[in-house]
Amino acid sequence: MKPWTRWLGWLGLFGLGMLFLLVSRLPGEPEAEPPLLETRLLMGTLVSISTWGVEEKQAEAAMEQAFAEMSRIEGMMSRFIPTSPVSGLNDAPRGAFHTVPAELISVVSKGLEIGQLSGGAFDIGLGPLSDLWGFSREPPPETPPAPDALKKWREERDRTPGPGIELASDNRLRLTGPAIGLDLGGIAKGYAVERAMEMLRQAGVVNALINAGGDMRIAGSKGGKPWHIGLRDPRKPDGVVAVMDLTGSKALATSGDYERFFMADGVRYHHILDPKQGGSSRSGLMAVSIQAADSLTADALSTAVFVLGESAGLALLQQFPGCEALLIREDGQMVQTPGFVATRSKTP
Amino acid sequence: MKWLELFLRASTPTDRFVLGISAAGILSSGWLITSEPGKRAVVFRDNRPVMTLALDQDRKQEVSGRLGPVIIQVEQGRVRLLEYQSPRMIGTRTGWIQGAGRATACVPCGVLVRVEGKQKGSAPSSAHEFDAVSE
Repeated sequence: MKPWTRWLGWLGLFGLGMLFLLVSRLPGEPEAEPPLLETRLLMGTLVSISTWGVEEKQAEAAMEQAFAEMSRIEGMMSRFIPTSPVSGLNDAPRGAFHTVPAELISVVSKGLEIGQLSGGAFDIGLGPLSDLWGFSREPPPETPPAPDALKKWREERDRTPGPGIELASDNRLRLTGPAIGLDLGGIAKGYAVERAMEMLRQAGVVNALINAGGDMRIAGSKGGKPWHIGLRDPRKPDGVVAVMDLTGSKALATSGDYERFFMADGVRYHHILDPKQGGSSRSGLMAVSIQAADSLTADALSTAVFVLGESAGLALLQQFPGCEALLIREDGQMVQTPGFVATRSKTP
Repeated sequence: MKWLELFLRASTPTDRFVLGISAAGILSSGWLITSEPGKRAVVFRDNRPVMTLALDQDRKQEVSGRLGPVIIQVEQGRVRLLEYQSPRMIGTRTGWIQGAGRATACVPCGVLVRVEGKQKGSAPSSAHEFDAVSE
């Protein structure tokens, strides 16, 4: 064989390899179009909206409206925005009624209802206690509040009967004691996600997923394929302990002791506060996920069940037909109600 | 076309076939290399774009966040947030991102970095092949 023919052979083999690569890149079986995704920083978290099955411009316009709606609600219900009606109430002297937006009354009313059903485990009046703990501060706290400050809060709270939040006709609301201040952190994000999904629906988007820092709302599917959702491992930030393939209209919310926390003297102090104890809830749970028909209920119940613990928490769920839960105990064991849609996983 | 006559005389039909395949393969390799679109990441401060970073140029870029400077690192076509330590700095959990549509953020800093282009796969909060991760 002539030497140049041998080289030509090698060149041919190379060419065949490249052709193989080329063919492998060509579209074969048509794949489902991936969802369109937009992300924003809103409500103190990363909010992402995925849509499927609508033309790009229509989807972008719809997502813009959904983000705008969430931003509007944040402007109304955040206690960290000085101009919000919630901040106005918290800054005002206690005892007098104030007129607030009807929408705020509606959310507060729902919060009070879940608070009552949970025996006070869910409390939207913990603003001053949350300020004492400072889990929303930057930099985050490294030590618990001074015992004297907590004792003072406890004494003032005990002097205020009931939830300390009263509603009256004509959209009026008042806070009745100095230990009370609106903190809608356990419910407003769920409401905002619900409203955002409504905006998408009105804009003709029927397949969507909204994820606001773990508060999720799902509609439809991805061309018949379910939305594929992981549930974070409470102790491994990159791990997933369960997988949920969801379709149709569903909400999902998770509360865990790993979202905002610090360790002091070997003790984990986290942001889910027990109104009765005045400190981080010690209910034997690391995380609670709730599947419900709407995000507001899922959001509030995930906190309420976390604070109540396994036994009382599951009893509370009996009062909310259609709501399902997955609980992760402190030892890592998982408990889930029969209707909770999830496949166990230990993906590292 | 003397060179063509020489070539035809010196080669067999098999040689010419192999040469043709080679040429096609080499041309397609050029397509393989050049068809991948150049990627860029857009940096947002309080949801407003403040700069664009080419992902094919390794660098460390400082941007002004609400709580001070935030460092963004670009390396080998990937991008990540550095420096600021907080449980709410989602960037520390996300680590490197590179797929179109992926995002990483320092929430308290108000800084969001998103890779340009249509999403092809998971949502930004996911380190796995999920549409989202509930946490």
